[in-house]
Amino acid sequence: MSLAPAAPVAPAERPSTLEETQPGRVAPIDRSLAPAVPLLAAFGALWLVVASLAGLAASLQLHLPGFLAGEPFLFGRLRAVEHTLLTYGWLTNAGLAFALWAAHRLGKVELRVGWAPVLGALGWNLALAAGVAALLAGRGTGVAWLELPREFGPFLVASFLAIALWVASAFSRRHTGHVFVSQWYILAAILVFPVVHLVAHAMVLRWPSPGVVQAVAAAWHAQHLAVLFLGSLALAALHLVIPKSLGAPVRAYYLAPIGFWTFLSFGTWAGTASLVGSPVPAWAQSVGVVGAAMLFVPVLIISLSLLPTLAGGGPSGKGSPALRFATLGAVAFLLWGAVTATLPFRSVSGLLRFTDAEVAAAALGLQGFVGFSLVAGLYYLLPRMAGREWPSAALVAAHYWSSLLGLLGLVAVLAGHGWVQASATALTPEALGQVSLGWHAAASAFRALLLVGALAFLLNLALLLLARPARRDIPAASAR
Amino acid sequence: MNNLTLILAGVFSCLALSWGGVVLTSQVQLAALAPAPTEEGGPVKPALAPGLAVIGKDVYVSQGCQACHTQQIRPAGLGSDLTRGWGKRPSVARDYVLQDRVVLGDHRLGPDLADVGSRLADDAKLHLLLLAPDAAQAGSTKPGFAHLYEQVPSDRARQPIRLPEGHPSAAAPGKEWVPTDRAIALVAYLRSLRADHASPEAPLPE
Repeated sequence: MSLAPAAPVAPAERPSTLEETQPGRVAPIDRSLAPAVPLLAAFGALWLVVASLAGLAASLQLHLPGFLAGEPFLFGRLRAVEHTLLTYGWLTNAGLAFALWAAHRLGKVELRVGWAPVLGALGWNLALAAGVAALLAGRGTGVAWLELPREFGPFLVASFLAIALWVASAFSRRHTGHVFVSQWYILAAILVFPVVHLVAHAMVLRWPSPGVVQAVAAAWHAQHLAVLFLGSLALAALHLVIPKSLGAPVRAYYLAPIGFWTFLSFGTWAGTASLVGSPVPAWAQSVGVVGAAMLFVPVLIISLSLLPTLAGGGPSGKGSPALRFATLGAVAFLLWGAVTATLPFRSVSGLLRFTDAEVAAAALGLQGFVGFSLVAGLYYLLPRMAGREWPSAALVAAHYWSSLLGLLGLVAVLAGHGWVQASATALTPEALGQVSLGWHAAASAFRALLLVGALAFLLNLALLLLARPARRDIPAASAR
Repeated sequence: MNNLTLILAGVFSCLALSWGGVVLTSQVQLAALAPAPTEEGGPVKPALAPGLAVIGKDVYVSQGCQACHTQQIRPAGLGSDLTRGWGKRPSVARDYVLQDRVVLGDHRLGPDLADVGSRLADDAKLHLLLLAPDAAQAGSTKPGFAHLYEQVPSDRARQPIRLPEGHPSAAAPGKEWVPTDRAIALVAYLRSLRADHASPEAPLPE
């Protein structure tokens, strides 16, 4: 990990980790984080399994019409459950676990009020569980990224703040003079969610704006949550896991502040790119298209420092699961950036909008870039907190290969089906539906593979957290 | 860049700028948009939906219809919505000004529904499409919504929905399928979805 501009010269030698320089300082920090961080990670892994189940069930219904054909399990409701649990369940919990841990470890401070984040985590996840029940009962709002009934919004934000405030507090109490890149992204993320979610909640659900202004506000909200909230948490994880696992500093460090500020200032304008051709003001669509294209600049800048760092290797970290997932996350980030910049162009949008190609792009971003990066963060931090290695290397391998092949296959199938949908203008809807059956079946197969990966991760996590506590003051084998 | 306040202030200004520039400006531009006469002295459109259709919209959202159906007809040059016959003109912002919850939708596995009310102006056909889609349209892969219908003895069934002989979802002997209140409201909502009037921003083609 490199230093911030406050210390202008990036270190040429391998950055030191706290474990090496001050081993005695680590244990109290990890102990202070002990209930909150593993709790968030466990909720995240659990929701990932449930979200994968809902996604698989919804996909099966597309080619097996009788499957789960009862009112609570309608396709539309299952899709809403899947999306809500993937984003607010799995990715947010994993991101908060990482943010809470990284903020305290990088700032070298202990968590002062240990019960507050635990309360926040319980509040957030109990609300989600109630929200899933509401969605299955048909009480969803039908607005993407704001699916939960409106009474959930303020409660989610309050629970979030109970965790996020301690992240900010760790930053202001830090004992280190310099600031790591990861800390910038974490601070950005914890500010984006409460502000954007409350504003969109008010404008779409609580006091609905007139007509299609709701669609503009919802698109603005969805973009901020996906890219500037979850995406920032993922970039924070990549900027910490990659250099620390390799034992080598991030290359081209001088680009990091430019990457950070362009990511925020361009990404914030890209929301309406998802509304090309919709009945919203044409200038708003154009702003979104430009924003999405310009977002590729920070994607390139950030990739130009992360990917060469990975390619250059380092003295350590070969084959560590955290590094392998971080590599997937960094590659998916670049691909996602290219796809996001391309899809809104009129010629492309005219063909692919509303098709499964857009679902493929979302999966590449959320499950690829964000998902893999945050998994890398958890693979890095949880053994350090538990003081022992992951219990089963076989389960790690199962998680890695199932989620890699599952996501590659799913994205390919969805993109292929999107192309079929776009080019089948001569077919009647019924004829296209018959052609689609095979594509839906293939998508189900890869979703099943993703479920296997999620189950392997949950099982390994449970074994790690539930095993007898190890003595934390002995430098663990996992210190690297 | 190691000052908490500065970083948070920078991030907040990014959010505030784009919110003001895109969301608030859209609101200012569209706030005054209101139903307009379709022609000189003609009826004002869009009209308020009938009460049954308002209830039907809740059924539409609750059943998750928006997961597969959009309610927005794209203009010529962006997709083939108009040539597929999903509408006579593109959707415009004015079409949605009376809606409490705008359900544009962002994914299509079925046709667009912004103008379904003028395409399918037949309650019986819509009920059949909801109860047993493959009976209404051979080869349809649309899921059925039989839970919105019930079977009653034939002598009590007013306006029953008849399925073809031997259809797997056919009613039991001596019984007939009839819509529940929710299905009736949903069909009223679908019938109310119309974009077949001229709008100042989107005249009907000659």
